Amino acid sequence: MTGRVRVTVRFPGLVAQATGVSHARVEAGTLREAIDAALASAPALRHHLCEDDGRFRVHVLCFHNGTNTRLLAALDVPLGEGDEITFAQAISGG
Amino acid sequence: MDRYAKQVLFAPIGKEGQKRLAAARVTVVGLGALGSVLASHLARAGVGFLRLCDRDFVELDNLHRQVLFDEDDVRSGLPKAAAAAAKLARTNSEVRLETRVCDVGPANVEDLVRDVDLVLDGTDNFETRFVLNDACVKHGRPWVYGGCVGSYGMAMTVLPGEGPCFGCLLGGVPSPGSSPTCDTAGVLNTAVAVVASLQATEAFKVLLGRHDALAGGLQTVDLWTNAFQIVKVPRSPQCDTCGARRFRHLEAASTGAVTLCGRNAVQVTAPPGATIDLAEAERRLAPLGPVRRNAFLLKATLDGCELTLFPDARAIIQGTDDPARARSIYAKYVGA
Repeated sequence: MTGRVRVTVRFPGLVAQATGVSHARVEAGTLREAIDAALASAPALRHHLCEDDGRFRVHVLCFHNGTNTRLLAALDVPLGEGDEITFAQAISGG
Repeated sequence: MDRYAKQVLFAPIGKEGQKRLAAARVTVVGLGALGSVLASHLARAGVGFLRLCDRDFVELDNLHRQVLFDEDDVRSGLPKAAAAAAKLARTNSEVRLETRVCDVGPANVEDLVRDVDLVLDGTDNFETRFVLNDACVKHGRPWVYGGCVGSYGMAMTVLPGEGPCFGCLLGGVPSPGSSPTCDTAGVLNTAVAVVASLQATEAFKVLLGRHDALAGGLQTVDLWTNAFQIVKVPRSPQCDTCGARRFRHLEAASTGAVTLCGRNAVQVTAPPGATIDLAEAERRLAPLGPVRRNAFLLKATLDGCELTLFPDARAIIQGTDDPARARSIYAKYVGA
């Protein structure tokens, strides 16, 4: 699939509470573009989810259509209509 | 009347399943919010043997979510493992309970997991979970991760040799303080109960041999936003633990002094095998400040801090989050 599509990027409740953003509807051609556009919707999102060098924090999980993006060689993956991008945070509390 | 009548009526368990549960052995690591719900579910369900491990003692601010404990336990200053065992023994006398008041780490974890069918995670930090993951993968023991903060939580079953492990999910240990904890973001007691129930249900499925019914991924739940999700987690070809079978978290030395996040307290551990005579310690410390002792621990107020000393020479020092100060107090009053 090529071209730009509209996708929804969802953030976990803890991040939503801290940033006021629970999800972002963005138009993008690749996974990386979608994530960048979504993180740009509120400056605090990047702080909560990414290290200074741009990588996701270790406890942050990002799933693209159910695939853990940590296992992808790169985020330059073409998006398709209806793709799902969901962030989660591994939780240490118990 | 059969104690398990309603459970046996549930078809996937039935009489045969109940026998399997009665023959099962489970270790619960951590008996705080998740752990007390986990241990309660498993004991009431008739799991035959439960090993209850926890390093801490019961405090008043535990009671809103740690359902096995009450105000008497707080007044008695009981360790959580002992208080949990006492409550569960009254709940189901058919279950064999083993109480371990200890800090689970590289030095003892393999002994705690190798002779059981399953391990349940009720811990409150990533470091211990990576130690558990290494031990369980090394010895081929299933374990069920759970975590909860705020109204949000997650659970994932690790089946060594069959699916992803905790290392596949995260890659590495997050830095302390990098993610919110119950002590920084609070926690909803209903969320704890839901996450622990997800874990316990996964445990039943594993113990009953019903892997086909497992969630098959990372379950996440947010009770405040009403979001439930299961995300598939593949094995990572780069995983050190289940891929390369390098168990570096088992090789790490237990840190001597660890700040207990959000508690204004530091745990100081002694070398493996160390012991201390609490009665003798009481005699030595009594002239220096208020001291009280029960069968499991001793508490003394010294230098503006409260020192809780255990028979394995481990101490929790409340009133400071500075490991150096805690080590100094420990060296001064317990010994270097």
